Amino acid sequence: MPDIVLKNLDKTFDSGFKAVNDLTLDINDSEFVVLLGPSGCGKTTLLRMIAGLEKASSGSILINGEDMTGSAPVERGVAMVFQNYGLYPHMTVYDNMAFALRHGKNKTPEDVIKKDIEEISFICKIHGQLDKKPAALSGGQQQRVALARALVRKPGILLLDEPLSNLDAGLRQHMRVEIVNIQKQLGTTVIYVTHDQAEAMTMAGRIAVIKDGELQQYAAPLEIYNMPGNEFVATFIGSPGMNIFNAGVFDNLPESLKPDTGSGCRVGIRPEHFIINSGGLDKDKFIFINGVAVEAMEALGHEYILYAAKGADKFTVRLGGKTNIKNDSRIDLAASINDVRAF
Amino acid sequence: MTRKKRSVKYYKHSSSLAAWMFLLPAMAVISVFVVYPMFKVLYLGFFKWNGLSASMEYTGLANYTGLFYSSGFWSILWNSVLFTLLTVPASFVLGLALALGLWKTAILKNVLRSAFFVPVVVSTVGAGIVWVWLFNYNSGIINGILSLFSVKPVNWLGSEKLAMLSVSVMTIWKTAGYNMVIFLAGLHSIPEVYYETCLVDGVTGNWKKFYYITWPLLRPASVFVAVTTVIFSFRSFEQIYAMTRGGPVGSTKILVYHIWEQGFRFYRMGYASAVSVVLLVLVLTVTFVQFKLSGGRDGA
Repeated sequence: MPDIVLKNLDKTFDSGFKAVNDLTLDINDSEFVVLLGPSGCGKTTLLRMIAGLEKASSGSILINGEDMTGSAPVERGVAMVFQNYGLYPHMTVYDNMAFALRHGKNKTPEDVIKKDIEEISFICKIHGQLDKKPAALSGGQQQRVALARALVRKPGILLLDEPLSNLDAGLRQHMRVEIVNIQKQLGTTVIYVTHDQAEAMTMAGRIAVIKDGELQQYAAPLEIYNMPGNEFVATFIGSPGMNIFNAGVFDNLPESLKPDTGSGCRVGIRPEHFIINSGGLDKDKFIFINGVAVEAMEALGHEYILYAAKGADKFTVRLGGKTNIKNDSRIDLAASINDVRAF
Repeated sequence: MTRKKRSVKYYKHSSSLAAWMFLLPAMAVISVFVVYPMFKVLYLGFFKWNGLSASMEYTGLANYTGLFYSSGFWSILWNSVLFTLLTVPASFVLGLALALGLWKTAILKNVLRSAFFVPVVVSTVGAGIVWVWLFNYNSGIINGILSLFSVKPVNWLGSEKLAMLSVSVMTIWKTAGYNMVIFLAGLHSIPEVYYETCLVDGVTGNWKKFYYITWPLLRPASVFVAVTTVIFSFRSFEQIYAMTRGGPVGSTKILVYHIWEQGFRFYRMGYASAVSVVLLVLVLTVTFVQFKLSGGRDGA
């Protein structure tokens, strides 16, 4: 299976809108990479550039070390699942899957097509639907057919553009697992576009966080979560996202956490990394934020979300288990120095 | 004060009453202008009547037997069929070709679309008169162009063999723009993702994409164009009236012109009504067969 290297990719549309800006990314063979970002951040454009559906304004795309920047999609050995699936409504599921094999660049004999379709339709669990037309299938089945149609070509690279966004929450969760399993089974290199961070966190080998066409951070999910590279990644990932403070809020911020910018430095702490400071904590291992006002509270059963404020800084705190904190009370909080990020 | 209790039946009744009230104006118009004339024509077909006199002579099926036994009627019916065969496939294909040509053209798109649509808007009689000039034996521009290539002048409208073809050419010119607009609407309703899927799947070549994707997905538009152009064709009258008056020697006499001639020139209103009924049955049959052959309205 091939690896992909994107070098300094730029895409400016005719309207002058810059969708992708100087983006460099390398994707390993058989890796599952998720492009994650808010709507309009350029992640779909980037995927379409890898597919060959959009021309790069500058920069290059290397697949297996070969420059494919200007190549037609078919030469790149990619298959793609579109957001709305793009299943041909006038063909049965079988014909949809066979279409590329029958009429594509390399003609496949019918008996081989039949064997391949049987195999893939079992993996994707649509073997009972082969004679049906797409309109007769549920959303989840259509999604599987779209995936099966892409996989039956045995592509080296599979591109998925928000493939689960049209499904309901339960089915989405189920399909997340299925897609990852299928990817592991076939060893396909997958690039997966989504704006849903739960999808990204659960499916990705590595996540590329993109904002305004620029790569913000590229790392494994837990590294993105625990060591966000900048304030955008910190607040975008996590629900609620990381709290960002001006350093002055803390009573004892150690010098080691203050970057060269000095007093203007910003500090990030995830909501679940706060603990109640009821005394006895080591000053060298914890930072303190005392006299915090609790403005509102949400009880979710297994945890509490506190909407807290100190001075002008508003932030969220997530406390597990039971608590006797009340609305409008004042509390003292602390966080381990290991869990504090400085930007 | 207690509120009057109203039964479920009352509400059901009152809501269907409201529905009827909404439908009434449309039903009145349709009754007066469609249903009544249709039955009136059916009724008149059983009479001998000059269209003016107070007395009508009941003749039973005489009008029908008369027309089926007259050789003139059969040649007129054949003319109508020939006219349909000459105009419908050609204006269908031309309309489709124009639509495909202008589908993704950026340059002069609207100018060209308008240009091809203008004939549809022009009155048929006016356009017919213009085409009479174009087809003129001595001074027409068509013979003028042919003479540049040393072709002898052709008697387009005056020859029994060519008149039907000439009238058909004008009709194709007149209807192709309409078909183009329908096909363009059909083409624009096909999502771009199908072609992108082709591109990624390596299914290239315009003919393949047309055959496997565009043509099947264009079916609703195709059926609509086929059915409407056949109906229009069988209903044609103005261009015959303006260009040939059914001549020469009846070679362009088609059903509706025949109906008009019998009813309003020879005052054989009963006979004309009988021909109208035959035309109605013919058009309904052809339309029904077209729907069946194309797999009905939905079955994608």
